[in-house]
Amino acid sequence: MINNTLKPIVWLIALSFLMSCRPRSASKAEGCIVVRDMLGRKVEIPKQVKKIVGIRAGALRLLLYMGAHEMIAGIEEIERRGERPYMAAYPELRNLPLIGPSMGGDAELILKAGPELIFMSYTTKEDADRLQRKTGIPVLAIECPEIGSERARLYTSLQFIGKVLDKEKRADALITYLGHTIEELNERTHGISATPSVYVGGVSYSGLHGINSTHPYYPPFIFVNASNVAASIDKRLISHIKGTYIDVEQLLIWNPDYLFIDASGSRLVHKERTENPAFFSMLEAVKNDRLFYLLPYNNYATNYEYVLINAWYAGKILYPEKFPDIDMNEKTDEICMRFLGKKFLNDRSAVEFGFMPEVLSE
Amino acid sequence: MIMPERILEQYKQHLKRGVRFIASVSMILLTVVSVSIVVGSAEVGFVELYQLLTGKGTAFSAQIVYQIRLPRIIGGMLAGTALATSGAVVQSLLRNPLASPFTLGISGASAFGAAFAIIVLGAGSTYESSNDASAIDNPYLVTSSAFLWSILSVAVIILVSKLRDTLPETIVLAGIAVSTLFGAGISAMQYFADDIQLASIVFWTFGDLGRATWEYVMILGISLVPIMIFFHYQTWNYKSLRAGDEYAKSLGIKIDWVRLSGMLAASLATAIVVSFFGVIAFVGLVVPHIVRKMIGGDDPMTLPASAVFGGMFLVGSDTLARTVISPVMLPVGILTSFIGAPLFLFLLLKNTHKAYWS
Repeated sequence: MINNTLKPIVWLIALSFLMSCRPRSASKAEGCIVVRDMLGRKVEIPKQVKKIVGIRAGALRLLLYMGAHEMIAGIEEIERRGERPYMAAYPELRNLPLIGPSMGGDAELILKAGPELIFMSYTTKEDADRLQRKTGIPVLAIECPEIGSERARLYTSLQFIGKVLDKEKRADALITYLGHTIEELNERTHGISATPSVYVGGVSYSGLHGINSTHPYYPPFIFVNASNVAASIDKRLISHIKGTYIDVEQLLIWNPDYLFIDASGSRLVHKERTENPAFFSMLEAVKNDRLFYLLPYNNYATNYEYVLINAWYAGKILYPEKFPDIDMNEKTDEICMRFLGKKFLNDRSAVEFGFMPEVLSE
Repeated sequence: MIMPERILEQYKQHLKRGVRFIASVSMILLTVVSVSIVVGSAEVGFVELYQLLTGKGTAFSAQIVYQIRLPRIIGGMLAGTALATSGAVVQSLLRNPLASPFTLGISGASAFGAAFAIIVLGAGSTYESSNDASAIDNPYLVTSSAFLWSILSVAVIILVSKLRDTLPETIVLAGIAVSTLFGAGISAMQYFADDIQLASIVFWTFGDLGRATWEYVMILGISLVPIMIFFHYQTWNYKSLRAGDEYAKSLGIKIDWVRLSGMLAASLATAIVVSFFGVIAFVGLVVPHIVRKMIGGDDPMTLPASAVFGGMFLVGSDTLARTVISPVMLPVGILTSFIGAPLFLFLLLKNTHKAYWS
């Protein structure tokens, strides 16, 4: 019967493809070096690199921190949308060819964009190897960890990118700046006896959330030694990727002195407030006009420059006497320059994000 | 009045129709495959393919065709074949038109098993352990776990079908219960997963052929071919079983063994596909039905026809998924449902008078 003969034929075609298409091993080219990436993979890369791409959350951000904006060969689809600081600094990148959806890594599109190196965050060895095999382009795993508890890994990641792109000085400068800033914040705020209690709501985790979405170890609060009411949550229940969501009733019990709202979730919080004004009016912070906005913490991985800006801002609000010399607009410009080489946060956006004491209207 | 010659003639007609159907679907499959090789976001079309085949192609098009498109196409063909055949077999074994790896919860259980391997057994989280062996072991660990958990769902289904006088609805309801349970299990594990694990799990819950590499295709081929051959040799047993357990027994068929081995083989095939490509809904349910609608419900014909049709359907859907909103790709699971559901409804409404399920 035909079906008996057809099946083997299909398999035969499949197998013949298999036999004929084994990858030819690439000959070791001159001017190549072998590096060990953040997952410990040994990867052979060209010594001189001109075109690169970063895929998955935060990868492009780290490349741009390293001043690599002229080397970027393509962007993920998500970068054309949304307001991430690095895209605000380099809006011209939006015109680059697409290399896949968010969290993607579309081999064909990457090949078409023609980078010599692929930086990939949030990946596994297997994943990175697979993309490397498919594209024939070296894939380097990098990491975008939490700036509070995993700062050492962030530094390693930056140094690694710096080394590969021959921008080691830039990496060192940024790391030194980060270290100094965090140190200075600590010096200004440590040893204060009566620290006010604080809470941050509306933090984004894979999407926008309302007031119950928080971060118990919110790095800006840690940097200025503020006592985060949510820090009492069992550490095992916390994820800085998927988020921590509290029962809103708990917020009434904690009743923090200061309430901070992540600007990305402000619209949702506003809606919650219109729907349930009684709840908000019971909060001491709202009663005392101590409700402030912070710049978005997460947006396709963490906005590290905003973390620092938020830390200065929170410090200035919580202990004005310790920060008399700090002008937030100047500080913001300084941080933006240090991270992305541009002052992209203008007065308008600063007002929009609420760099002034403000209570949610109505 | 018995007219043996006429019956024989009818059966021959019936066989002819089946063979014709399989032949034409195979032709469509070949067409779809050829189209699929030359479409994609990078400009590698017929001209480049011709250059490649005559040895004048660029390294760029070689990379695109050999390392990206071909493994994806062959992987899709194998996966579609496996899912559709498993669906057809499961439908016969349980005498239930609503059965399929997806509706019985086998796919869900496999996805849970894959997630379990990643989170609890630590497959894929190759962070600190930088020994090279772990990277190779991982695919097998994930697949084995997917299979073991799928057996559990199969056990539930078989148990239910044994204990209760099985109405088709009972089994499907049991399948829904199993699916929901494992769905909740996946959600629960997502809660404890770290970011990278999470990305892997999310991926398992909606199917995508984009992961196909030659290594995967090789493993798929090596493991699925024996299963398909096994099904092929069992078709007459399945046909007898569909006529009723008593009838099959009277023919000397060990019905328990046939049913158990068939279910296990089907769930193994499903587990392999799910652990490589994620849950691709609808292929296992709809393809056998479409085939039965076209050529009748005769197992020796429907199994090979489903196999070819399934491969064609999945590769076709994936080609669409890759091109429909290019340069962004849709996961193929979305497309199979988008194409499959209306097509299925259309066929259901079109010839209501023809009973193909007996």
